Amino acid sequence: MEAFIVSMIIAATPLLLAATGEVVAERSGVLNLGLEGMMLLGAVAAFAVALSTGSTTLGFVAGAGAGMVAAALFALVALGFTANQAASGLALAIFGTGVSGLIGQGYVGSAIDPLAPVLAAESLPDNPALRVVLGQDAMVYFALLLAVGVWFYLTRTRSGLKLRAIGDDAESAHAVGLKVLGSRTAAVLFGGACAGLAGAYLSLAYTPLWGENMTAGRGWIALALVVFAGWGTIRVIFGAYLFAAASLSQFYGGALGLSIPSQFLAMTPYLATILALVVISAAGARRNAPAMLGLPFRPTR
Amino acid sequence: MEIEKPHSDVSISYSLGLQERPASRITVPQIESPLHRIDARLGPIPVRPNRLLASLTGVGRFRPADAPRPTSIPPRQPRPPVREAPPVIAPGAQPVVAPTPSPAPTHVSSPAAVSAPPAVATPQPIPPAPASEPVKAKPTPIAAPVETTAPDSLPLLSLVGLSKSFGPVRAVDTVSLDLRPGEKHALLGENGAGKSTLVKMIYGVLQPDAGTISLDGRPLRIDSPSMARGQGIGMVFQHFSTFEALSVAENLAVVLPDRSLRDIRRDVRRIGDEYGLGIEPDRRLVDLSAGERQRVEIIRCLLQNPRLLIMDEPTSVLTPQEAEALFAVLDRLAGEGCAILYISHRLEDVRALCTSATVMRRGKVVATCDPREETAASLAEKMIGSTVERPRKQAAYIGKPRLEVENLRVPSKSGVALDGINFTARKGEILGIAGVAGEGQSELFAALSGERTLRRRDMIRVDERPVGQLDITRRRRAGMAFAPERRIGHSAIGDMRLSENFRLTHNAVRPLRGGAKKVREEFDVRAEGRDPFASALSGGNLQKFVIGREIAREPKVLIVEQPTWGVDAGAAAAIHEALMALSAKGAAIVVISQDLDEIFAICDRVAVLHRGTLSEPKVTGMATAEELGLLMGGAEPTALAEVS
Repeated sequence: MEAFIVSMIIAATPLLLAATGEVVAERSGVLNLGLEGMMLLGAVAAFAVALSTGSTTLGFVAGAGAGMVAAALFALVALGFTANQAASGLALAIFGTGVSGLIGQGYVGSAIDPLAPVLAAESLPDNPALRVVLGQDAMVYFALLLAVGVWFYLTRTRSGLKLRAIGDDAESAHAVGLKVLGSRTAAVLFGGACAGLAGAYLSLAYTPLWGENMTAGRGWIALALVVFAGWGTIRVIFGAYLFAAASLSQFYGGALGLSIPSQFLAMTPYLATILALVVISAAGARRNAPAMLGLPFRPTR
Repeated sequence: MEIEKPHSDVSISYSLGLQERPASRITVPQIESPLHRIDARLGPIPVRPNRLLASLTGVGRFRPADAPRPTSIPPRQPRPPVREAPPVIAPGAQPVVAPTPSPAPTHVSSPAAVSAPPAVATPQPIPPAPASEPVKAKPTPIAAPVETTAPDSLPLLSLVGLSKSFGPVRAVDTVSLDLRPGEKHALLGENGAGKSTLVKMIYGVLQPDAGTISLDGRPLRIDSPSMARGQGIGMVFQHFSTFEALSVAENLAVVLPDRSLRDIRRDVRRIGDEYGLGIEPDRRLVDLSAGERQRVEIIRCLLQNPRLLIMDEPTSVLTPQEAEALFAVLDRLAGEGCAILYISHRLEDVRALCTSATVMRRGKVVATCDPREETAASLAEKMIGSTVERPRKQAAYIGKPRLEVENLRVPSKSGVALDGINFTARKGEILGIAGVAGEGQSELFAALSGERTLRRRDMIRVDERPVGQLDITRRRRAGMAFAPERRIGHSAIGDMRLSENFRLTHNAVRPLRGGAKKVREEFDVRAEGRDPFASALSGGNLQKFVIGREIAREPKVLIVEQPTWGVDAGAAAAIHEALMALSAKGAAIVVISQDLDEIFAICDRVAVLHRGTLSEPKVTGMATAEELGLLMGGAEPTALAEVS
């Protein structure tokens, strides 16, 4: 049980990071479907830097930076040239997959030391619950803090209010003098950094290896998670853990002696995603969706 | 008090030729005693000279032109930048025209011309643009109205030679304008005359290509709306710039960076009490009516202590009562020294509210005048550059029922539920369905058009044939035609050419070859190219095309929603004429409209939609805007009788 919860926490962290960033971008009205690509670029950049410098911290910085560069590319195309956001996002996903594979060719098979827990195992208390809570690596806590911070930003600060206003009605926002494109670009870059961190977590902590297409669809799950959470950051936290638990069932189902084909169990996270989306759409939770989501904005000057 | 005659009289009065409609063109409608109106109602030909004004006089909002302004205005909080409030000149005092020192050469309108006492029949500046007819400047016998602004006060806002082009189009062409503290200045013009572009430059949303904007005589570059707000310029947009997902207080917080939400909530309540703009600060905007949303915008401006308030088409979404309340607020603000720039193409509103006016046509200023001195017709003439014949419905023979709606009930999906709607539209009749936005208009349209099919098929009958369960195409085959409110995306597809759009509604019936071309010729649809995309047409031209397309099928029943919404006066007149011509051929037409002027102009009878229920239809000649306004606000017919 302890092992299951620990794996769940570790599996949830990249989802939480990526989804938190995407919540910010989508709340500003930009639909960035390129999470998968940004995560992969972040993963490969982080792995390469960590391998050559020996520093996982630098690796994470590089991962976030790579995600931001990819997001900047998306922002240029989708916001600057007002290209279709869905198409640009899909292009970014495919682009990121390809480029990360190309860069990562030489790193396949290399290994690095995984990200260590904050507290060494010896210094942990004996209580199993406390061991789980205290025994994680820094990124687990960082992801949670980041999500809470984003929640605070969006709901409690003036700047967050403006960002939501822009996502709700960009024309009005422009008319009352908010900087629509600037705020959206910032939101997209933040989303890119988060996705890059999520990718970096996969290649530096989750598997400590680089493998082509190693995100295995987590970017898409994070996208669904945002909808599942109704664009609410706190719900994203719970959703990330729930989805992570579902994704682990393929490993633990067999161990528990369930005679379900492993392919079916491997399917569960995606199935859960689709089911969640169906239920939510039927319940009309889309009312919370930013009204301008995915719509381009061309300021008149 | 007996208000209304039974409806069975309708056809009789028509056949007796009693439906002669009073002209909407009024001479001097300023004062009208309640007694007069009672008489009017009892007589066979109700005298309804000026509906809006008449409806409002009863509530005492309108002062005779020479009455003193109310002086008991409590001072507002100190506003540092504002100089002294304009002195109130006593009635009868001779206004003095002082040569105004102008900081910069003004173009068309000199400051003196704007605020000159109209008794000295101001020579109308002849437009530099090709004016097809000379504008008749008529000296008026009315006693000199008292100007609220001291003629020698410096202009608060001064525009000199302002220009703005979009591509090859000069949207605003060397416009000059002066505005004094406390002045209520109208900016008149048809759609596309450049009014909105002009005020967007003042508000910093757009940057002028040439010309200067000066505040207090100092030239200023207004880079952004926040800078405009910092200078005391507030603006209420035509398409509200509010955020639906946010609460009232949050909507205000977006533009007030240095005030806490708690302060804002308190201020909303305070301003609500002070100006009668009551609104609950924690309600979400989605749940508010159009009038309430406008209040939010006005409060947003007031919270910033404006010296200049720009209102862009503010009354287009309001009931007459709401409009009246708005005018009271604006009057009061002007009394406190705030200048008001009021954009409208509703001439009656302008005449009721404003003390001066600038008329724009094709980006240029073509006239300045005192709207109180003008008739609606003379103002319209200035706007359009030629005389507009406002079409009036001719007395028609009204025959057997063509469209019968009986106990129409549609449960609510997300909007308004329709709750037992009954009406009959007869051969040759135009039935108006009035009501403010969001009272079930779109649901009613969907039920009538078959976008939503009904539980029982005899809820709707066309020529006695039940059509309630037929889909749109089958209803079209049954002789119905539909023109919804939203032009792009509902009536027509923007990315399709006109010929393709024509086929969209004609494929149900016999497709007409070259129909789009014919409609374009017949309805004078102006657009570039042989077969342009629908999105390339201006609103008025596209609407003419849509209405023409439906009429080309020669339907038995035509349902139109907001046929002239946001359409310029010329196109509106053409559309009204086309509708009346169709009804004269024997079609029954249902016009769902929020524009009471339109309903009075073309409809034979009118019913009011409120929260999904429809009032008893009245003969339009016997209804007043006041009555309809009360019904639009949800008053019971009995309560109505008491009020009247």
